[in-house]
Amino acid sequence: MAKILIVDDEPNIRLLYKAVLTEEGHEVVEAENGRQTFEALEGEPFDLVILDIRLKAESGLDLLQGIVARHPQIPVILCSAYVAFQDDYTSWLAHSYCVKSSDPRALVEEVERVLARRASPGTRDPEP
Amino acid sequence: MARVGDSYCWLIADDPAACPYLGAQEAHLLSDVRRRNREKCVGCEELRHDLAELRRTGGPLLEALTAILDEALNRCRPILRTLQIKEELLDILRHLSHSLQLALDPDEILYKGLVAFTAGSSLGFNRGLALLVEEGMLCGYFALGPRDGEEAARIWQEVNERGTTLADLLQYSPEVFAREREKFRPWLERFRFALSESPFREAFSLPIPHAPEAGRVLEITPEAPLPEVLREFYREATFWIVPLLSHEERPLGALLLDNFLTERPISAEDRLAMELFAMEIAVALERGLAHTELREKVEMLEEAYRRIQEHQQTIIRLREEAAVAEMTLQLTHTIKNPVVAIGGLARHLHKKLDEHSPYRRFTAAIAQEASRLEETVQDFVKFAALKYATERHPVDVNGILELLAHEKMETLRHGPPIRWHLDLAPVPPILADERQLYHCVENIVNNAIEAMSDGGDLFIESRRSDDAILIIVRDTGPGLTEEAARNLFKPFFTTKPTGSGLGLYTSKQIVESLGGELQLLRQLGQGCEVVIRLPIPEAPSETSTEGEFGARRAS
Repeated sequence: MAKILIVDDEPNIRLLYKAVLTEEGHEVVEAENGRQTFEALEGEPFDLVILDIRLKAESGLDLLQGIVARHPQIPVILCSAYVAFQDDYTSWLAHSYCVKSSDPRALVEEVERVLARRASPGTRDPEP
Repeated sequence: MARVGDSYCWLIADDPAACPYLGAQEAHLLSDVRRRNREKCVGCEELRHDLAELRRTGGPLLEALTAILDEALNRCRPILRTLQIKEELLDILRHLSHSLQLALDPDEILYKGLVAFTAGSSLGFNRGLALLVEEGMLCGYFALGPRDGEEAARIWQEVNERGTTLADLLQYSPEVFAREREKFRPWLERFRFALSESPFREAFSLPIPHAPEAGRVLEITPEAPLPEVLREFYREATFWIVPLLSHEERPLGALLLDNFLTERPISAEDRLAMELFAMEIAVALERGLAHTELREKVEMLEEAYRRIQEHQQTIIRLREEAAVAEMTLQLTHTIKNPVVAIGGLARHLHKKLDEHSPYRRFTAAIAQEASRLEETVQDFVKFAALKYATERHPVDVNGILELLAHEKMETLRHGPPIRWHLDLAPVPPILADERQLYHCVENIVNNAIEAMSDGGDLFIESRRSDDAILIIVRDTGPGLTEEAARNLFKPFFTTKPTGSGLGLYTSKQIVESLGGELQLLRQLGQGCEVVIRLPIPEAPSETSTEGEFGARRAS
């Protein structure tokens, strides 16, 4: 069981991810913007952040840089509707990249993979 | 003749037999005795003879008269000769002037100018050489005349035999110009002098302001100090430099004239004529050079205008691309997020429902429709991204095919049994966008695999032809109906229940954007073969040499 922070400005996406990941036995906390993200991260320890790349008021990539700078020990899965952002060098800061899909299996697998890797620290994903 | 009866031939006005020296055109001189005496008898031996006779019989007066007549004749001769020369000079000048009136090509102007200086007996220089000012230097441009005595004799003989007139000689043609120039090319190429260099400095500073009568023509004797190459060319010959000046006295060039064969000196009158000719040539030359310069400027402007138009096209295209990219992002965001939520939540609900619940049909339907929508958005994004990807590098086609086969084999592990046959011949790199080309072939491979829903053989091959490389994708599926084959590469055509119909259309667009072509070879009943033909770039780039990517074989 892990504690996961979901950052997405779409409430229904959060609803979906929370339902799916809770069912996998994880504890899920939601944030819809940068402020809530850092409040959560500073308030309690997390094992993983799932971050949408495009938030209404800010760029997910900027937020990613903030998270990596302030909480380098927490892995981040970038999650986006876009395939193209995979090539943005900033996204390389994330541990992995997952394209949003109505089939949540890919996300669930990615979460397990990153958490398993976290159990043996010092390894990062190879570049996509 | 002389004495006729008790009269003399130079007194008789009515008998044509009296004077055998009258030409057909001179019959009128028979009756006009005084005029005949002035024009014909003056130089006639008959008259001289009669006068000698009369002197003997007629006393000292006639003797004195004869001496005066002789003297008068002697004095007349050079004047007549001068008149004749002036007449010829005028004739040449008239021809030249007339001929240069419409000339705009500097080649033509210099050719005609040198013809005027070298033709006929008035100036009739043996050789003429034209130097033009280019970037502040006097450079050898053209020369006219024989290279040696033998050639001169041949030319002069030709001119005499054919009765070539000045008008004939002034006929300009680029061929004649090129031929004459070629004769002297090795010399012309070596002639390159600074305007400040002697003797040109002197030639261009003539006339000295306080002595304008010195004229513009500078004589260079064999003793004068000269640039080495000029001395080598003229050796022991004297030559004359005539500067060509613009109306503002700006140096345009110079003509160098010599009589290296006849060694004839020039007179003061020749100098005046040379100046007159040079002025005529300089006026035409200035106009011709200005015209050439203007034409070049106009061409430059036209070229610049064309480029601006091209840039504008590029800007329009870039804007269009940016707009499409923006639209694609918006579309993805505004459609895909809700679709993911709808489909994802439907799946979740589906799982939560009892296995026998009648509502599972509904949740399954919602999830399926959401997937379809998602796929369409995905296809559209790829289509937009590929349409506008333009960065090209040398690409290893075999590498792409191997990667593609590898990834497809991996993802289709659990699908229908497909036997992969990869047969790659050595091919040179082509210029393309690697990802674009990958997706291009991927779409075709996907199509082939989907055609073999019960499994089959998939062949992927690369081949080299003369000027192109071929990528061949062949399946053993049921093939295509004629209608499907016809429409296969049209946008939004699909035989599948789900799919945007953009896949193969995108592939075709990519191939065509690379200057290649895409062909469908096999049809109904025997599977399908798609051949992509991509041109090999003409000049191989530094990073790629032919055959760099060797043959690889796998199956």
